[in-house]
Amino acid sequence: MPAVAPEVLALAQDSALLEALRAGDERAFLELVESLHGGMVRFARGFVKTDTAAEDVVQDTWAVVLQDIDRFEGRSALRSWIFGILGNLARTRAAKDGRCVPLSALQPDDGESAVDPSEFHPDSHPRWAGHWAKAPEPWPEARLLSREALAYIRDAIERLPEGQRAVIRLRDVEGWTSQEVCEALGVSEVNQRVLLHRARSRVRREIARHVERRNP
Amino acid sequence: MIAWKFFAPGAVAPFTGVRWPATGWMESAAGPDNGVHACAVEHLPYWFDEELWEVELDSPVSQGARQLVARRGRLLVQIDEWPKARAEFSLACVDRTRRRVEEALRRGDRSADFAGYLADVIRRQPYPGACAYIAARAAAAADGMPGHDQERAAQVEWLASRLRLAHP
Amino acid sequence: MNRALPADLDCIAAVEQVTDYLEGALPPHARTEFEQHLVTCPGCVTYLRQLRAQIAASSTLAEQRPVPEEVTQELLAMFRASRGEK
Repeated sequence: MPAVAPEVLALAQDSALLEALRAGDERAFLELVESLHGGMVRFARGFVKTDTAAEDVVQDTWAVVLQDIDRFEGRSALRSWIFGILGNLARTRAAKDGRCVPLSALQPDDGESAVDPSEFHPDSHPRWAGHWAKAPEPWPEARLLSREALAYIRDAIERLPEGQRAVIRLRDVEGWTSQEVCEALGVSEVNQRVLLHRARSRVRREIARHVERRNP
Repeated sequence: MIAWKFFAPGAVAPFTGVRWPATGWMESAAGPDNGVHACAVEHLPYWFDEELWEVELDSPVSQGARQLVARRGRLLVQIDEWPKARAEFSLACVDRTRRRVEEALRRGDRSADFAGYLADVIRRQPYPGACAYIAARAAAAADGMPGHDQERAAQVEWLASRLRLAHP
Repeated sequence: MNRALPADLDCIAAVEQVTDYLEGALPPHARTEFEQHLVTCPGCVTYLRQLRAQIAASSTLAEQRPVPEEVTQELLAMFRASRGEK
């Protein structure tokens, strides 16, 4: 069991890193870039139209980061701050490129259920209203890690509405904590959870379709 | 305080995934919402898993929703009879449900749909937790809350007697 | 009446709580109810397992994309310039 909570540990590592960056330590900077670059491009790609646009936005983000780094107070995690800048730039770029980015993208809409209601017994069932009509079958876990299945998961994530996609990317793909995601996206814990819930549910449906198609 | 707890194989707590030590106390994490959970005999039919152990809970022990909660607990002895008794427990649930269905159909005050509970419990025979639940729901559908309570009490009695658990 | 027992969680409700459960965001009583539902319901146990497998598989999608050399050089130049301005 760690002696220190992960968030506290991360902030401690952050302040050492910040010191190094402010002192002009090039290796520290390059390590930071190396560790975040892939995730940043993936994240930006969720907002903008092309790979090139995503890379542009990432470059612009670094420019802003370097400009503001002396003023960064460390109240949030460093990468949350960086991704916050990235998200704003990406959304601005997307709007400029004509992608309709609704203001409410990060607010979950109402009434989307995790599972198609038809998978449960209706209220008219004499004994099991609200229970599984046909229980889910276990997925062979090895199948999920096949290249084909992973492509399905990646696709399903890509097709999510923007808010859901941003959250599930950072949480489940990049492995961020919920606090970091809330800081980066500027959403509340509750909203973040709802978006994550919806995102995971939609991705699950895609996987289920794929797996069931192979095992009729 | 002596209590019982179901575990995943290897004395692994089924929901936290934490393995209890073979000797010594299992301490729960700090904080008011955390604790080590176990069962009094009357809680057992609500919690089933592969292994059943007699455990000791350190005072103070509080009553949760159908469970006991303490700051720490330790393994005492594994109830070896449980794996064998598991299948028998499900059969007993099927048995009582069958009798209930027959009685209700003879009384004529339940529709044929009620007989579906027998099919449901038989289908779920591999899962004692599901069987116990279905039997309790069938009892409730036949005789309301008193029926439900009676069925759950019968399940507790069955476990206490079959596994020779001390029962106040 | 289908639901004779008022406190029962049904599967429709349980699947909506799965994320909160995995996040540790369910208050203690709700968490216990959810776990007790799992004991009665092999279908929801499978559902939870599927989600866990999905999350594990998703995490393998984070391939470390190497930074293209030109990008590294550009960023390094940017960094030197910004530190030089101090």
